[in-house]
Amino acid sequence: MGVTLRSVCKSYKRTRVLQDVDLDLPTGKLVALLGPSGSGKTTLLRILAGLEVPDRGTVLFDGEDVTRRPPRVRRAGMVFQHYALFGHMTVFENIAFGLRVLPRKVRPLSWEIDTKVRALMHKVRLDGLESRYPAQLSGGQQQRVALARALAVDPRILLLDEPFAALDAKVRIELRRWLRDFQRELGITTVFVTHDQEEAMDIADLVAVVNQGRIEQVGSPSEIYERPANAFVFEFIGRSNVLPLDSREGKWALELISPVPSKLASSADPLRAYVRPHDIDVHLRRDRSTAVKAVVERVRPQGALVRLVTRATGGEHRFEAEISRERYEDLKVETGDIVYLEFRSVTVFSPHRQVVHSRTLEPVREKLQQPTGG
Amino acid sequence: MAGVGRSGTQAGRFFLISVTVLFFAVFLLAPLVAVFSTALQKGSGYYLAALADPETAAAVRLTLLTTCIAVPVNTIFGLCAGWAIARYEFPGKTLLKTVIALPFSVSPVIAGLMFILVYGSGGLIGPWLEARHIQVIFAVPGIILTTLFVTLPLAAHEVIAVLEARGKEEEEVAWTLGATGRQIFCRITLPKIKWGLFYGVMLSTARAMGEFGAVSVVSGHIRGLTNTLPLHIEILYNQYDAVAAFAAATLLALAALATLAAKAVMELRPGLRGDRSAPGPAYAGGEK
Amino acid sequence: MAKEIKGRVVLPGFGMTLGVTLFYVSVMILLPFAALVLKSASLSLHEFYETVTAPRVTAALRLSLLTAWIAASINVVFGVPAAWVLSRYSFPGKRLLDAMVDLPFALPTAVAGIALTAMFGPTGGPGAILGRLGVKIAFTPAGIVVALVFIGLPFVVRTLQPVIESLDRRMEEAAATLGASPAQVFFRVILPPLVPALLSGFSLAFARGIGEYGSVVFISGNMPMRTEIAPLVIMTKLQQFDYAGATAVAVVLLIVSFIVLSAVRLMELRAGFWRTGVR
Repeated sequence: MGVTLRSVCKSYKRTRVLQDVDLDLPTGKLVALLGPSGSGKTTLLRILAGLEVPDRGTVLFDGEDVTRRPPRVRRAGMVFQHYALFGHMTVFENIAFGLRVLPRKVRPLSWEIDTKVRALMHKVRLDGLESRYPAQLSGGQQQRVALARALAVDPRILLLDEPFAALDAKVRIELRRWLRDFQRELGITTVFVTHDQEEAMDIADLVAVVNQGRIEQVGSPSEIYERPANAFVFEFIGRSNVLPLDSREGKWALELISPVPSKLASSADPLRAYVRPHDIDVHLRRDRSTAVKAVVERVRPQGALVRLVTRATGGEHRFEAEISRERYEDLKVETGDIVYLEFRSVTVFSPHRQVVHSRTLEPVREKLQQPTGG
Repeated sequence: MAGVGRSGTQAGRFFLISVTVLFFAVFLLAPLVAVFSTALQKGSGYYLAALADPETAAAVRLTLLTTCIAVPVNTIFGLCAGWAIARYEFPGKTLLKTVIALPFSVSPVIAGLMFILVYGSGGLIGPWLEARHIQVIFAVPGIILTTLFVTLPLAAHEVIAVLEARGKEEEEVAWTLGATGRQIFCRITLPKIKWGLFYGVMLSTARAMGEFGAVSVVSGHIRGLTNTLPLHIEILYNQYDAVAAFAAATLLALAALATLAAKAVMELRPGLRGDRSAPGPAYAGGEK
Repeated sequence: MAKEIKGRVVLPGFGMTLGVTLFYVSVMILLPFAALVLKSASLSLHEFYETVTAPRVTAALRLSLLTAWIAASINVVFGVPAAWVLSRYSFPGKRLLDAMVDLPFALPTAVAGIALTAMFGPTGGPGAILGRLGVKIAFTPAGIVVALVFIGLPFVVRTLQPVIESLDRRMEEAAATLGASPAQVFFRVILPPLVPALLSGFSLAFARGIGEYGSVVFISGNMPMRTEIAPLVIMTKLQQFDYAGATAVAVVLLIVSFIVLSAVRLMELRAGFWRTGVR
């Protein structure tokens, strides 16, 4: 089922939680609502479930307006962050709940409920735990009970609030991959809320980045990473270095490096410039005039990569560079060594959240002329 | 658990425990022991005879009648108030909670006075009732009304405490799974709050049976008619029939002990101890 | 259509439950209070003043406030170690002790009254021993204090317990590693966050104490000017059908309770602040 949100607004008292949210969730996709805590993503999920009604805007399920339909008739399966399992019911009764509360006319017979619940339990790998109580289960098992319980009513959409937050790191990765495959198998449109960008990037088909009640960007994980719409998305996804920008004589300049490309130079707005750690080349000698001279402060090997924490000479500014282990073995740098950093790609944003300049490597370098640092 | 460097050394710990045990023994245990030992002073035959006294029996009947009305009414109220307060946001909610807690902070004698000022012959609706030959004050209805007032917050407070501590997610899940309001209440909420409610009911029962000051004001102290058990105890005591007074008192003391046992059981229930981080007693702290 | 309050969907049942609640509260609580307010408004200022400044009334008010104050203080002194022991230590019989804290709340006041009188009267065990030492408890103000200590105990202990339980033990350990002595740990690390709860427990016990009737009337002896408490003065006036006089004294007591309990409420607001700072 496809879901559409149109200019949805929501405030609590005077706090605006959601502002003009437009979102299209295509049928059968696994969608991540990604954002920092307090960004409004959980409210968005509750609006989809029918537990909140937006102040303005509409919620469409397959084109049908369900904005004011109560949760009872909406058939949106919701899995709460801490699962909200019914503590006084067994696993079996928890899962059967949605079937048992159906009006008598449409309620399945007892043996049908039994069959369905057992089939679901098998699907979520909970066989044999029918008569356990939630308190006797591990976190991962509880989560699967909550999932099976939501699935028992054949929901039109599956909603998961921070589904992995309460789990151990190891279980978390295993379980999210499993959920990914499971969702693909079921083909139910699924929305999950998370603050963990790695989680969203790992399993989602589509990521919606939420910040301060707005959708900053919607796209596939690679789109979001390759072409971030604005500074917030850039900073929120992946690691990044902020480049110091300086305003001189009404022109913006990348401090330490050069005047900024002419395209930006006249901009009156304060700009923000970033470079990804893996877009920094490390050299032992100054090959290009644009390179920044820096001291290695720390060397942190991380598997196939090595992270170098460096500090630009003559300043307090630190850059984290990520190089391959091979490159590191070539360089053989140690703490205290002098290196030269070259930025392969610099991304500049204006505060209006548009990309002023992005990921166009060569033009930046061509126009960077007089080194001021080093 | 007592590690080195904890604020209590072994000696300090022993001292503190001793002080507490001694304090409790003198102020809590001794009076309880006094009730039972005095009641049985003249042997169990005398004890049973004292309980079988027709006036005592009449007082027991009136007390039971009052309790059987006050406790169910306040329990139903407690469920409604608990649901409304713990499940919804609405303006004036804090005020409503404060008003519900008012009977805790009113002297029982003043509570009785207030009911005289409403239902008494010079009161707000007293004359209207009198014209219709309905007597409230110095009669059984007055006793029931004041008992309702005094025990009003008890069940409500317990229900609110449990519901607020447990949150409303389980109800919301049930709702998304298609349950109706009645189904949510009967299948999710009631099982969840049953131990808290049970304790609230026990406490209401003990208080309803034992209310003295407020009932004393509105009762006419007519033996056999408007004398509840606590009032009867006072009469027996003032007639220097201490043993009979204490014999009657054992009944109320047993109800109190049953209440304490109910609370202990409630706190032993798995899933309740952890969740109710502050088992806020109804009488301390108003609302949490 | 989902039921909504101001745009929020709510679980079903709001109208019915709130309606029942408001109706019941209005009839059972607001109506009696309104009657009291109306009655007191009908008193002339002169009448009011004459009543509450009569020597017998002032003596009773003074006695009630004083004994409630002393009893609440005693409860604070013993309540801190008691709450501490019950929240922090484990020892055989602890559950029993913990359950007993609620006894004064569950035990009918009249039963407590006669029991304490029997204990501390001249023929009771502790009463006889103290009597030989020349100390009289029953039928003196000391007896009133004893009864009020009994009544007030759970208020102090039960207010303190959750706060002590919420204290982070690592704070004490940190203080110890920083070289603080046990006494310093107690006074500088443990006590400050307990102060709001202590004051609140004290005030609750105090407010309850000034209104207490059942447990006091037996042990106090009820001698006018000496051991007659304020609620008993109200009772006496009621027995003489002096409703105006009873109302005047009741208003004074209610105002005192109101002030004390408002102070508690304020402190609870601040305690919330304190506690978040502690955790």
